[in-house]
This record gives sequence, structure tokens and C-alpha cells, in this order.
Amino acid sequence: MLNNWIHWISDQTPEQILLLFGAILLIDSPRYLFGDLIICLWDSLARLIPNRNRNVATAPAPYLPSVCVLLAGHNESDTLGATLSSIWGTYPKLEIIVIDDGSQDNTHQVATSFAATHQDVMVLRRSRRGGKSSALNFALSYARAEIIVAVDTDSHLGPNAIWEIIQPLRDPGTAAVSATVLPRNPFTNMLTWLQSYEYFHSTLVGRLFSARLGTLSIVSGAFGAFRRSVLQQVSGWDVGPGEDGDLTLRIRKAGFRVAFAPFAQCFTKVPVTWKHLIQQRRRWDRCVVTYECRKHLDMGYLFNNHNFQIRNFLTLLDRWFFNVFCVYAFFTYGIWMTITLSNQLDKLFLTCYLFYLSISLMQVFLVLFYSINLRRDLIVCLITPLMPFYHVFLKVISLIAITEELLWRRSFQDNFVPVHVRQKTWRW
Amino acid sequence: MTFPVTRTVQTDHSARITPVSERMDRKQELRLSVTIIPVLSDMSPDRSGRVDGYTRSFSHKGVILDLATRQKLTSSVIIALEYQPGHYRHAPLEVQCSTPVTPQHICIEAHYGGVASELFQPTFLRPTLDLQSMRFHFGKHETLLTQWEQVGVLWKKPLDCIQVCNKCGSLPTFRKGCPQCGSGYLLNDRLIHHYSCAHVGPAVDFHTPESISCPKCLVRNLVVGADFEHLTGICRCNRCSWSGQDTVSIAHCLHCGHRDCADQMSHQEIFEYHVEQLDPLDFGPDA
Repeated sequence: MLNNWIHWISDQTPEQILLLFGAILLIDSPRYLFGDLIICLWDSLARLIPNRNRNVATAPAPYLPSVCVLLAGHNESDTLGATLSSIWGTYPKLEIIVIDDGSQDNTHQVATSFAATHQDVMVLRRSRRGGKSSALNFALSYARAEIIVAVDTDSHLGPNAIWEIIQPLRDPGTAAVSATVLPRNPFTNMLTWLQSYEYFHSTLVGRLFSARLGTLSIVSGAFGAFRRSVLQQVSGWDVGPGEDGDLTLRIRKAGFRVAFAPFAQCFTKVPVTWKHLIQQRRRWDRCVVTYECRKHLDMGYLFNNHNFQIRNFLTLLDRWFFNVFCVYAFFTYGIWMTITLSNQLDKLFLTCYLFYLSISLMQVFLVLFYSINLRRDLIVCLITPLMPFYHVFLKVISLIAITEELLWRRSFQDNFVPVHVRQKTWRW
Repeated sequence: MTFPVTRTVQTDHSARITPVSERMDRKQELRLSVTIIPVLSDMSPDRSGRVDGYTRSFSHKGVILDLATRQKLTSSVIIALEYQPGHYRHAPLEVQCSTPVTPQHICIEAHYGGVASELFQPTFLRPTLDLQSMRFHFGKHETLLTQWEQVGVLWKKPLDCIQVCNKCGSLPTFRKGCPQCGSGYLLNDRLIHHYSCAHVGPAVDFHTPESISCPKCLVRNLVVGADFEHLTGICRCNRCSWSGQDTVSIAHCLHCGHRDCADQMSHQEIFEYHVEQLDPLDFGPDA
């Protein structure tokens, strides 16, 4: 089998081999490979070259503005207490506002009992669920701190996460900061392990690359920091799903930059069943069409657009190309290759798999370069041989999600937003 | 001691039921064991004068009784009749005449009513709230009612369980108040949530002279319920610096001025008295 494959691959011309790898080159993972390499080299050199400005006496004082953490949750009594414990006391001027969005469980009791024993914790409640966006806006109207940090109620923050995430906001031109989101349950089963590697690569290294390019288009709803004045300027969150990405784009359109804080880590609970993973990814992928292709399409207008910014245009291009065009191109290419090489399918798939695996292994080294917990991340990277299959699976979900959103606007039937709200909101 | 009940009137169950008007006018001869409790001039029961006896006859106006006593009864008495084992019914009687039958027995003729009937009016048996002391009480008859309860004519029935002041036992007033200082002077934020754009802001920001408009998306003519909902924001205490959504129930005694959380107040059971009234028609042959 192996000999046959070696003979087969050696018979191929360089053009044919490039044609074989065309489909793989369109998958997300290799997309960042060259960017990752450049950043790694840059950071390595930066560490080697002594910095003359790295003097303790002249180093700027830490940026310590007042911070308000918003926690909006619906039926999150199981995780809220641990989330609050991971946040409270980690920053000197910290206020916490918990919003119980019409929960039917003990969420309110958990929050009030925590507030009774801890200072600067405010609990807001509304009897009828109104959605995450309006819950955060509800809390925003009571926040008085300079910086707003939004945290999901099922997430834990890493050590010094608040301090890390607010440091980029020292720059007045930066209004939002994205953080590293990692799974809280990485080794529950094979699925969470696969997601761990994906999160590790896409949210840490992927966002690092996007932030350096200035095209970062997402501040995750699980953990993100915003300047309150800018949040009020853009009137807070709009109706979801995908309200976190929408807010980031609106902040960018308002002329502010979006930064990334790699060492601000947040550990969130990832889906443990295929069904929930498919639901989650369909929701995420549909948002690309809703926001980048419809609501914020004006970011791509080259003419008669007084608000045109090249970085915003590149952000949009990035999303259109990799999240929409490549999805369709991947399957079109795959079908065409399968038909063309129908008698050599086994060799075709083996070639593609080995090529993809070799790229992934290179990425593992790059990813580990930014690892904080090397032992844990090494174990996470052991799942790499299965990642090609996982990425193809995600592409299938993307194809379904984008198609259904393009044709039927399915995001407006998502239960993420209560019925009475999604019936009244605009259908972009 | 309970006398055996023996009916001297033969009841024909196959006969037609006599109309109520005829039954009221007719004098029925019926021998039932009864107990007579004399009523003293202050309307309290004469416990030592309690007498057992039998009914001789009765009508809707009164009853003729044979009593095993030689002493003269008071003019007002209470008749107690056991209608089920252990259960008595009572009626106040006004003694019209008393005749010795044997050295050990007398025969009395009495009409329903008399001074004791006033005591058993429903208005006296139920407590009323005194607005001066803010307490429930039975007024001037309270002691009498207790005495009649002790002889078994009245019995207590729970009416309610109320919260009263820890210090003076008066009925406090309740209001939502500040959990820190107990003040009821709270300022409440009224917010509006606009469904379409998820904006949440003070209600005053939405009100324009023409209509209700969203300050975020500028949509006009919003309709409550369909387009937006009102949200209750946080409350701010006017007396201290507290603010929050979770107000507590504060009880404030207007009598002594004591103020505390409602759940810290004492509980007091209030009750009313019940009397099982004897209706003479119940014992007729057609009843």
C-alpha cells in the first residue's frame, strides 16, 4: 500500500501535486501558517535583542482604571458561584454586576448570597427573559467604571486575567480587547479534546496574528474588555446571536482599534456532545452572513464612504474569503477532485491527509511557543492526527449554516434570543 | 352526665312532610335530655347552678322543661342539647314560669330569647381592630366570652395568624424598604427595554412630546408590550447610601414606633368564638 502510494506520488508532476493540495490550502489551519511563522520569528528576535527601553525606572506605571465586570446569565446557577469566585478580589478597583435574565433556577439566590458576603457586587434581576444583549445593556446603565469587562457566567478567569485584559486599553485609540478563550473541560471526551486544540490554535495564535495585522474582528462574549465611553457611544450591544462580533465591528466602524491580550485567559465550558457542538457552530457560522455580508457590508464600500478604513475593509475581506468563499470552494474542489481521480481515491485522501498533518505538526511547534502551561498544551496537541477530520467536519457545518442563512435567514429563528425579541428585531 | 334521648312522638315516615309554617305553630311533645345553665345578671354563666332535665314539649316560641332541681332558676338561662354524641347545641331562654312538680323536680316554661341572646350575636363573637391600640379584641364582652367558652357553650375557632410588634403586640404596617436602614423612602428607577435594538435606558429618555421613541435606533411610536417592556431598575435609599433591587419587607409599629424586618416580627393567632345555635325545628318529628 505504502509502496504503491510512493510510486504514485513520484509519478505526479509538480503541477499535479499542487493541484492535489489546493483543497487543503483552503482549510483554515494552513491559512495562518505563514502568519504564525512570521509572528514567531518576530517575537523570537524581540526576545533575543536586548531592549534599551526595558528599564524599570523608565517603564510606565501599570494601567489601573476602575473596572466593572458584567455577568449576564440565564439558568446558570451551577456555574455562577465558581465564576464569581474566580473574578472577585483579582483586581483592586473592581465592581461586579450580575444580571439574572429571567432564570427559573437558583441563579438569583446564588448571586444574592454571594453579594451578601462580598463587597461591590450588585445583582440585577428581571422576571422575563429578554436575551443576553439587553441584559448586558441593562447592567451597562448602572456601571460607572471606566472599563467594562463582559464575562460569561459559565467561564472562569485565569490568574491576573482582569489586569492583563485592560493593559491594551492604556492606548486611547483602543476601545476593545479580546482575550484568550480556552476550554475548561479539555479532556472530558474526544470532542472536547479536539475543541481544545482548535481553541488553542484559533483563539490564541489566530487572534494574535489578526491583532498584529489589525484585522481582529471578534471580542469573544466569554471574556472581553471595552471602554465604557465607547460602549455608550455605540449604544451597547445589539440583539444577537453573534452580538459580540457585531459589537466589535461597530466599535471598529466608530474608528477605534481592537487589541488582543494573549495572557488574559478565560476558561469556558465547551460542548460535550456532537449535537450541542453542531448547534453552537451553526450559530457562529451564520453570524458571518448576518453581520459581515449584510449588516456591516458598508465597511467594504470603496466609494462614497466617508468612514472607509483599509483595516476594516481587510477584516471584511478576510471573513468573506475564508469563512464564505473557501467553504464553497473547498467542497466544489473536493467533489471535482473526487470525480477526476475516482479510481485513485485512496491515494488522493492519503496524500491530502499526510500533507495536512505535516502542516499541522509545524503549527504545533508554533502554538507551543506561546504556551503558558506547556505540559497541558503538549497533551492537547496529541490530538493533532485527528484534526484534519475534525476540520472537514467543521467545514460541513459551515456549509450548511452559511447556506441556510443566505437562503432562509435561520439566525432569526435561533432560541438564543427569546421569541418576543427576535420577532421584533430587524432581519438583516 | 348525658341523659338518654327518647322520642315520645311517633314518626310516620310514610306520611307527607309537614310544611314549615304548620310545624312552627304546632306544639311538639318530645322528650330529650337537656342541660340548663343559668345566666347571671352580668350575663356570665352560673356554673354552680347547672341543672339537668328533660324537654316536655316545645314549639317555635318556647319550650317546657322538667328539671331535676328544687332551687329557683334565674330568669335567663341557656339550654344545651346533645344532638350528636359529644356535640351540643345551645339556645338562650327567658323563663316565663316555674312550677314545682315533685319535691325534687320543677317544671318551667320558657321562651327563646332573653338577655343572653344578645351576647351570642355574631358581631360580639368576632374580634375587631381597635384603631387606637392597633390590636384585635372582643371589646367589653371579652371576659364573658371566656367564661362561656369555659363552660363549653362557646369554642374558639382560629381566624388568622398575624404578625404583631415584638415590643407592644400591636399590628404593624408593612412596606418595602431599605435592607440597611429600614426606610421606606426609596427611589425606584424605571427603565425601558426596546426589543428591536436591545437598548435599555431610563424611561424618561424614551418619552418625547409626540410619542415614545427609542433614543438608540430612533424608531418612533413605540407600543408597550409589542415593542418594549418596562423594567424595574435598582432602588436607592433616601436615608442611607444603599442601592439595589432586593428590597425587604419592613414592619413599622405605629403604636410604639418599633421598626424591624417583617420576618422578625412575632406571630399571633387570632380567633373567633363559635356557638352552635339550637333551632327547635330541627327536633320536630318531620325534621
